[in-house]
Amino acid sequence: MARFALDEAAWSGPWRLRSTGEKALLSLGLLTVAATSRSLWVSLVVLAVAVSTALFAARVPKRTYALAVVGPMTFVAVGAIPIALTFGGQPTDVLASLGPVSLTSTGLYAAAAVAVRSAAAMAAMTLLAATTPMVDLLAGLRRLRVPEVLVDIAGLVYRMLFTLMDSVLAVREAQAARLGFVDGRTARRSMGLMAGSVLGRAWQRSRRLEEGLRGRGYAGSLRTLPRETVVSVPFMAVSGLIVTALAATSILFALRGVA
Amino acid sequence: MHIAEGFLPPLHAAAWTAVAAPFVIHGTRAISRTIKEHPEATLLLGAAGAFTFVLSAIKLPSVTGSSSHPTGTGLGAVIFRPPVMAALGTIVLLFQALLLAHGGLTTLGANVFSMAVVGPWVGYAAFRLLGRAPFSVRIFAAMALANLATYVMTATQLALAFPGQNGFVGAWSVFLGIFAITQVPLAIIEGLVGVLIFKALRSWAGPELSALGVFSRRPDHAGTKVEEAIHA
Repeated sequence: MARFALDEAAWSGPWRLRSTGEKALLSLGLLTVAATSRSLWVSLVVLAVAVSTALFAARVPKRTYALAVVGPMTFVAVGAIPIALTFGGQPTDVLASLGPVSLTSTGLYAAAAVAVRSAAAMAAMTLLAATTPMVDLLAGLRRLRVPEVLVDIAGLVYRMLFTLMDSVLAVREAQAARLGFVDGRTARRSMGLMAGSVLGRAWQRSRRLEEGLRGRGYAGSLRTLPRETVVSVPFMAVSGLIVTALAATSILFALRGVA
Repeated sequence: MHIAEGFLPPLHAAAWTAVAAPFVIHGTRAISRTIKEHPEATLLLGAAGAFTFVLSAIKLPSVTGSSSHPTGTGLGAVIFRPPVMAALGTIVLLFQALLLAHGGLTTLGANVFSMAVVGPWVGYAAFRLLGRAPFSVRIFAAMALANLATYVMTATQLALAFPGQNGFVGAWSVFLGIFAITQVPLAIIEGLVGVLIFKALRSWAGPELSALGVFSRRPDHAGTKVEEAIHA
């Protein structure tokens, strides 16, 4: 059975039964502070709060967490290089240089600020992703009046992707067993065949689903009853306090010009 | 190529969201119109979204030597037309952010614009403009150019956000250069794989694709393709 580590952590974690609103207040609040803050220190505090909440309060498995952030962090690291370096010209604050390329202290600081801000924002988003199953998030989007069509399609995507992922893995295993990835040429061919057959299956599945639903009086809406959850007042209060304090500090720092 | 969560300055993130929004709204309306008449189209689009997500979630060992993810925006644009792809791409990007931590919520607008708007439109334009060329050439051009356009757009977004001391043009060429190492070979490979995918699709899902109007040269309205596919 195909799995997505973050989704699995969300389904099996201790915060699974918390209301979506609570978790969204905390993580989206942290995300907003992280994404808008100009201060390196505020970003570092958000990063620490988000990571420790995920690992210790919501008890997301550490391995899952590390594997989930390693990909995006690579992008951040590569993307930060051009920000740190200056090409040509005669910059004044050079730390090191190689031919026309120089590393300046301004550039290095700007790159570090972007990398830390991005890491903090990513940690805040991962906190939401690793504690809230997709179905709860979609129910939340429906309550926020996101167009019904989009929520319905997103719900279907979520329901279909596990079986499709299984098909992909099965086809790939069969192809690998027949030396389907032995060199670049065969690998591309295998890839084409696999994608073709999986799209065909997706198509058939949607048609079968349609026939089944039509027999049950399907008229365009795939609404289901969401599970009722009690909103925890202490949780909301603590989350609200943390986010407000961080936001206030961030604004104060910006007004006083503290880095 | 997803811009990571929080990477863009807040004003840029907000501006790109505003730029992408009309395309997504237009796409949502196009889908809504079709679904009002044919509720079943929801299911087909759900399957297409799941397929796109699954393709982007798997790593492809030994295709490039390292691992790489296909983007598939060109493929989607040829099959479903760009307006539908803007809405469908947004859903897929949201899933990628929340299930795989690729991309993010604050950078969703910027990623939607490069991957679900610019990529599909460029790929689709190439596919249409080469109307008289052999089918595999058209598919190759659509897939490879959609991928390249996405990458150039992402580099533009990054250079606008971080011009540094080099100015926009300097930063732009640096971002283009640094990502070209992986993106240019990837675009060519995606084009080649795209041709093979369509070859396989022709034998497995020929009737469905003909119904979507992929093999015909007749220009048509986005919604009607989906409608026809349902009734094929």
